[in-house]
Parts: sequence; C-alpha cells; structure tokens
Amino acid sequence: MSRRRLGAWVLAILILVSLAAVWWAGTDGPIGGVVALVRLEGTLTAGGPVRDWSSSGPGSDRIVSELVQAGRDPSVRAVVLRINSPGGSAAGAQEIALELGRLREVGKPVVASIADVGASGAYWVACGSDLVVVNPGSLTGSIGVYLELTLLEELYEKLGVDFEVFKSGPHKDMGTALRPPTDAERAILQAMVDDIFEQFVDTVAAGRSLDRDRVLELADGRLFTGRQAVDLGLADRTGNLQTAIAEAAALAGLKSYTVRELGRRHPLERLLEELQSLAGSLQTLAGALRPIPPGGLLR
Amino acid sequence: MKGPLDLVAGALADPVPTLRQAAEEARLPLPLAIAAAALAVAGLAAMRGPIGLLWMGFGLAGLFFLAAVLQLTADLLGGRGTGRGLLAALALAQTPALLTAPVAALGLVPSPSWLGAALRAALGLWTVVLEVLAVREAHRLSTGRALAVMLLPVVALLLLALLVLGAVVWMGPGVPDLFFSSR
Repeated sequence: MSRRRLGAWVLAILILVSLAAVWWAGTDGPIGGVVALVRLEGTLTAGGPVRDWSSSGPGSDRIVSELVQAGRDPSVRAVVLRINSPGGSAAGAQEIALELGRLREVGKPVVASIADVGASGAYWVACGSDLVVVNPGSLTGSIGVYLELTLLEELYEKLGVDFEVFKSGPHKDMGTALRPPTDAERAILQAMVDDIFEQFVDTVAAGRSLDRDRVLELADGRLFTGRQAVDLGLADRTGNLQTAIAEAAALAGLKSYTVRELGRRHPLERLLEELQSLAGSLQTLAGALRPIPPGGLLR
Repeated sequence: MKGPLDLVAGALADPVPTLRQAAEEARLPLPLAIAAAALAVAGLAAMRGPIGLLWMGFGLAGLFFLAAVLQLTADLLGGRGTGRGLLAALALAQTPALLTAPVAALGLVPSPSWLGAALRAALGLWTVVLEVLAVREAHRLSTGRALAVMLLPVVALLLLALLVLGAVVWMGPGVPDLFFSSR
C-alpha cells in the first residue's frame, strides 16, 4: 500500500471517528465542566413554536428537548435557564417545570435567570429551579390565572353573518365567540381557572419553600420588581446572567467550566423555521376567514 | 482510473495534477460523489439530524451553479476547457470540507475558542484556493486569469447591486408608485 493510500485510509477513519464523536457528544464544547444555557424567550405555549401577528414563542417542545439533551449529555453538569417571557399557558409551564425537576433528580442543578421579565407562567417555570436570579429591575411574579374569551356576536350581527351550531352536549361549544357564556358555563370556566390557580400556588409554595398562606397573600396577580421579589422570597438573589452561570457552576461543584448554549441553530435551520413560521401565519390568515373556534387562552 | 481514496488524497496532498486529470477525464460520478460526501460531512458536523444532509443538497446545487457561472466567465476570458471537466475539478475542490469533522471534534477537548473558528476559516480558504486551481487546470489558464474568473462574477454582482441601488435612489419618491398606484 502506498503512503498516500495509507494516509487516505487514516484520514477516512479519522473523519468517521470525529463525526461519530461529534454526534455522540452532540456538542461542540469541551468534555467535562459544562454549564448548559437554555433560553426561554417569548410567549410560553405547550407544543411547537408559535409565531404569528400577535405573539411569538419557542413552544415547550423545543425547550423540553434541550433540557433532555442537557440531562443525557454527561459533560453537562448544571443548567441555566435564561428567561425573558411574560408567561403563557399553564400546560406549557408544567411541561418545562417537569423536565427541570428530572434534571435536578439526576443531580444537575438548575438556576433560573430572569432578564427583563419572567412573569406568570414563566415564573411558574422559574419555581422549578434550585435558584432564581433576577435583575433588581426585572419584572416577575404575576402569580395568578386568567381566561379570556372574545365575544364577536355583535360584530357578526353588524356584518350580517349568522351561525347555526349543532352540538352533542350543552357545553360542547363552551367559550365560543358567537355567544356569551351561560351562568353554568361561567361557573365551569371559573372552576377551571381556580383549579389552575391552586396548582400555581402549590408550585410556588413547594418551589420557593414558602408557606402556602404566604403565597396566597402574594398571589393576587400583581407584578413585582426583582428586588421586591428577593425581599419577599420569590427569588434568591439579584444578579445578571453571569451571576446565574457562576451560581450554577458553584452548585455543581465546578471550579472551571465552559458555557454551552443549547439550541443554537444554524442559519439554514433558522431559514427553515422562518419559512415554517410564514406558513403558520398564512394558515392563521386562512383560519381567520373561517368562524372562530371555541375556547380561549388560559394564562 | 483512480479510486475514491486516491482522488481524495490527491486533491488534498497533490492538487494540481489531480485536478488537471479530473478535468481532462471529465468523468463526473466519482468527483460528484466525493463532493457530496464532503458536503454531507460538513453539514453533519455542523448540524445534527437529517437537516445536516440538506446542506449536501444545497451544496451540490450551488456547485452546479458555480460551475455554470465560472464556465461562462472562463470562456469569456479565453478558457479552453469543457463544462464537464470544470465541474469535475470543482467537485474535487470541495474535498477539504471532509476535514470539518475533525475540526468539530477538536471542540470536544479543551482548546482555545478561537482555534475552531480559525481552522474553519483556513478550510474555507483552502477550498477557494483549490477552486482557483480547478479553474486554472480545467481551462489551461494562468493563475492570474483563473483568479480573475473567480472574481469577475463577484465584481459583476456588486456592480449590478450598485446599479439597482443607484436606480432606486435616482427614482426617489417615485418608487412606491411602481407598487402602490393610487386610484
């Protein structure tokens, strides 16, 4: 075998081994002592990403998958969840908080770092971490739940559009925009809001080690500044993202570490996402031409 | 005819005769397969999952486009090669992309953060140099002319962009009327 041919074989093996190593590690950072950075930015929803004319957010699926990746990667020793979100759906918050709990169970500390705002559902998520770091001027809290229904009955009347609904049960079209809710439906919806509120309060009380009655006192839906939140026990300390990273590393017992941002996407992936989002917007537009489906948004 | 390993080793270690032979033989399947493999490795090293393979598709499409543009430019500057020969040589010029896998793997061990970026930039430069050599060997041009073949489309594109920009500025407030006519 000629030297060149031998070199080519060595190169081929090197390429295959490198590719396998990169795929196995799923990373481009050094082995050992990694603090993973996961971003939660925009409106929180359960499922895939949402980006339309009124709101945008990554969806819980992407964040959960990044947290799973952090859990599986042996080089990741701690996770920082960078939050900049006004909240969103309770289910989305629960999906992410559940995964944070799993990370903590396998011994990987989680630190939440709130940027401008980490309120409502986003604060729910933050309560699933070991430590909450806020800027003194961050907005957080907003412990509460609301359900919003849009009533378009009068608008349709002005437009001369009428609808006829056939339903299998009295509450099947509960929350429809075509008529105001009945008293029975108001009671059902209020009970749902109350139940989710109770879950929220329980989560805050457990996550922040606060007395439940104390949480109820704070849970009137108001926002707090970061400094107020620290004083009230809703956050642990003030600081920026670097503070949170240092805290996460300290909790994991890391003296030297590197930070690796998970979910950092290649321009091609971003382009595909933009195209996906454009398709989503077109679908939304097409949907607007049809009667508005029942149901509001639980926040 | 050389096998794939000989071609890869030749393109990396002894590019001039390898690219010349590829251009003269003008056989496309093997050089294109090597380019596809190199682009796939680059894609998979950068992006996990099937999306990495998309990179290969875009890369191959780009390679055909590049060959078409350079063939026309080389022809205008006195080149005597064929389009097939140029495509074969340009395909082999993508071989350095195979090394993106070891460069990505280097990131798995503690190393300065600038090292990966510097190596990736070096691989990019290496590819451009091989592409200039591919044009030179495929069209039997001087190195200067081959470089001009590479640069001319870029300069033409810049001039076109400047012309469009100039036209927009010259037309000024009249431009919106092209799109929004008031009735």
